[in-house]
Amino acid sequence: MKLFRIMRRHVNSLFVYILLFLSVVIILLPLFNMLSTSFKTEQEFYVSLRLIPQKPTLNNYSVVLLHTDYVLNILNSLIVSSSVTLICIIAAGFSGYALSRTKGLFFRIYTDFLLALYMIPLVLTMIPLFVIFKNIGLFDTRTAPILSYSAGYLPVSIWILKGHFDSIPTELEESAYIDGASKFKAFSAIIAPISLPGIAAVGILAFINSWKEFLLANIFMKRDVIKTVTLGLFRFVQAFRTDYGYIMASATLAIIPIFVFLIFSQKSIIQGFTAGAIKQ
Amino acid sequence: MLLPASLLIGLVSIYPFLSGISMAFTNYDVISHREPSFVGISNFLKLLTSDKEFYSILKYTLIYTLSVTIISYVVGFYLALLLNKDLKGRAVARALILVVWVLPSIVAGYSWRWLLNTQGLINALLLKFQIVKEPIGFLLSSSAKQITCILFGTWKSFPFMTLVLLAGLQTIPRELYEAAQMDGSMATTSFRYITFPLMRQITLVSTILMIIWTFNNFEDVYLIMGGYPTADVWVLSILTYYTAFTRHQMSYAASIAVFMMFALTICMIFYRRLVSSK
Repeated sequence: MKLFRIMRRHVNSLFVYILLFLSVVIILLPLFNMLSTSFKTEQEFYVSLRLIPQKPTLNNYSVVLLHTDYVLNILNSLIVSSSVTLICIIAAGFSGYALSRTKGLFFRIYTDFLLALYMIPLVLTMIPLFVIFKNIGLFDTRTAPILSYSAGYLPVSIWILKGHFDSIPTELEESAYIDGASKFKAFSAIIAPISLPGIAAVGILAFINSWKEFLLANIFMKRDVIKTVTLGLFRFVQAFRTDYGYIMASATLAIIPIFVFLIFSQKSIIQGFTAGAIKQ
Repeated sequence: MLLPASLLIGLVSIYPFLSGISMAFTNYDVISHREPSFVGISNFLKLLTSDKEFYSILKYTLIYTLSVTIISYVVGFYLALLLNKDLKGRAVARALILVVWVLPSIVAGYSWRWLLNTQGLINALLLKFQIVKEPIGFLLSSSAKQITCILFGTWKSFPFMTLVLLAGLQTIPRELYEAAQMDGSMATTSFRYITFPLMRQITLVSTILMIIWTFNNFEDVYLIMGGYPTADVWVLSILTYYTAFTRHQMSYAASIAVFMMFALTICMIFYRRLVSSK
């Protein structure tokens, strides 16, 4: 009887492993496919559908990197995403701190209000933003998406950082005030370093979300020279109709930076996006 | 200290938001270059009474939203339960699930389109194992496209569900399960009476968020259809986009978007009431 139970437990575990493995394979099929296609020559692409190319080639990558202006797109994405990240970290840091440390009805309402902003469809603000940006001459610049994204990710960022600051006891700042430090100094020298995980989470989230955004970028950026990587890819698909090798190579290039972030900061990312859902 | 963030949000989010709402009450039309004038609720009346296209799109949007939310919840819960066990590859599996979320929709969309092509990998496998006699046109017929959009939306959404639900599962103390096991309950019973009830709060929050995001979603549907979605897979956000930028009816588009928000708000109120009365 006991042996049977032990065996059943092992079979259960095995079953779970297999299920997990299958799920992961199904989930990641497009990724594997993308990688493998990017290394295939054109002939091999048409002839076989195997996942591992027989004659891998770097030709697709060299064409995309050297003979198109895709590198410019990558650079633009870097500029936009970094700017948004910087803005979000600084602005959300200040706001989160202020909301955390100040009592009062106004601030509580303000915090709840931030969450309500979630419900505004992007397509609603995109129309007036289009008109407004056109009127003030910011249309077709990188500034337009930078401002839009920052405004979009700030509420969540503030929410996350406020949560972090809430969990830091006020005694730390109070001892700093006793020692004669100003409010700002207390914040930058004491609180900020401790909150690095939260700040990292906010920054990484802002970066990744800005990098992969498509809709607003498509509406606000028309000149090829300022387009971000998502738009560049879109353009490639129209241009390289059937040359999937090039498309997949550029797609792979597009996701390298966020992949790098992923490898180094899994925990921060998860923390970041579950923060909105789990109120602690 | 609040000022910089508030200013930015105020200018770039709230002002356009209000402006958009007011736009819905005018007859702004970029092409004709005439001054927009106030037309009251005529846009909304036109939308709700004489726009056939709107209702079929609304129907599909609702089906899309509900399907994606429910399926991603079920799949997410299932995977979260799997990941909650102490297995060796757990961290790797979690990282891989996160990869799906991190992928830009454009990358994921085109990758899947290649796979789902009649000559693509999936059909090749189906034919090879003789599951079907002819390739399935995932991207061809109307209903196939609609289902493909739903499945793609689910694929893009389940990482969020999985990770949030996993975080929730991890807050349930092991002792509860051990105590239940000692009292002789099986896995399914302990799930019904321990796991599920304790996850109510997280279920509520995560499904609300998922409904909001899916209902407002533009990119996933647009990009799985290669940037050229046909009318049978339009969701409300795509309708808004085309109305504004292709048909150049800015005000009408604004009214559609305002309707979307209004509908969502009402749904949220009902949903909250429904769940809290239990």
